[in-house]
Amino acid sequence: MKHVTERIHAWLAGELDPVSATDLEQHLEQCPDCARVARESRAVWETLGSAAAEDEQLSSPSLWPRVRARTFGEQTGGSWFYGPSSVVRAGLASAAVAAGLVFAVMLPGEGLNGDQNSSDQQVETLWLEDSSWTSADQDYGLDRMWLSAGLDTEG
Amino acid sequence: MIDDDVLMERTARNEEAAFRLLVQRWEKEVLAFLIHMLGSMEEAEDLVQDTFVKVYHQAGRYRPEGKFKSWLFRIAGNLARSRLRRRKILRWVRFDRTEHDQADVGPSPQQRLEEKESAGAIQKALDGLPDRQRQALLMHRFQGMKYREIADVMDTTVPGVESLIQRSLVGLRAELAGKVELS
Repeated sequence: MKHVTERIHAWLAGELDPVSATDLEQHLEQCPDCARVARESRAVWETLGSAAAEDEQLSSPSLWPRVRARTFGEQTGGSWFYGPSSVVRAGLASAAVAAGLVFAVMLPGEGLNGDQNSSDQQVETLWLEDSSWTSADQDYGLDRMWLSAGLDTEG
Repeated sequence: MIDDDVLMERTARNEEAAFRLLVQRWEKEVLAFLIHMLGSMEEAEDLVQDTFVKVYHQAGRYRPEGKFKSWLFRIAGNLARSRLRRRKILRWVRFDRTEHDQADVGPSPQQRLEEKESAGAIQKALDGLPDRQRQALLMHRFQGMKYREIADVMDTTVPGVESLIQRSLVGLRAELAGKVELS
């Protein structure tokens, strides 16, 4: 007689097709060893069922505020820069860089109304060339930032 | 009730209300699963959050085939098993002599008392199961998932799930015998 202990749990779980379940039940009627295992297994099965039913009493953890802070909150509650879209961020970065360039060009001279003389232009050029953040041997990643903002640093 | 797949599509479109509904609909069930997987409420709450953060970030890759629960529990199960692996490594690295000595002399009276509580004994028995056996058993008996769904979640076959659950029950029978009044 072939024992059925390995299928008892599937029978308890209702995972056997009707024919296999009937076969197994017939076997249990004739085999005391398998019937004992079936009794013990059913007891464990039902105990687990009771424990599962206790989970129903578990109060809802209300995790939304914490989950939100790590998802939508990161978009809106962090830095102003981190808007919902990378396109918007790239646009803002481009505008900021463009404004910076205009400002840098105007600053050493007399402003919009002034006539820029050649010495001013030289100072401006030297200042830009000597500044550490544009020097070729010191890479602070600015070139990459400009490129990612859609600007060509090669001129 | 709005279907989970619809909510996922809207979550992928960055609709906060849709994602909120999903979280509120499933958080309790995921929490119960993780409590039994990890045996710790605090860690379970952490991982429920991680699970939903992952759901949000992967919403664009979700295929709406009516299997949201399987997909959700696959994420939760993977995170739990990863946490358990890390916990085992930490336990090995931070070998606690005091804890080890206590284990040698057996449980304290307080521990004995707690173990008499059937819920505690059942959780302890679950904790003693190999991780995959525990995951399969919990998904079936506690979350009501069919073997087919569990096979999907755990990347195995239906006979594979059957084997995992069968072995878990053998383990539980041995562990719970004489400790809990089996119903």
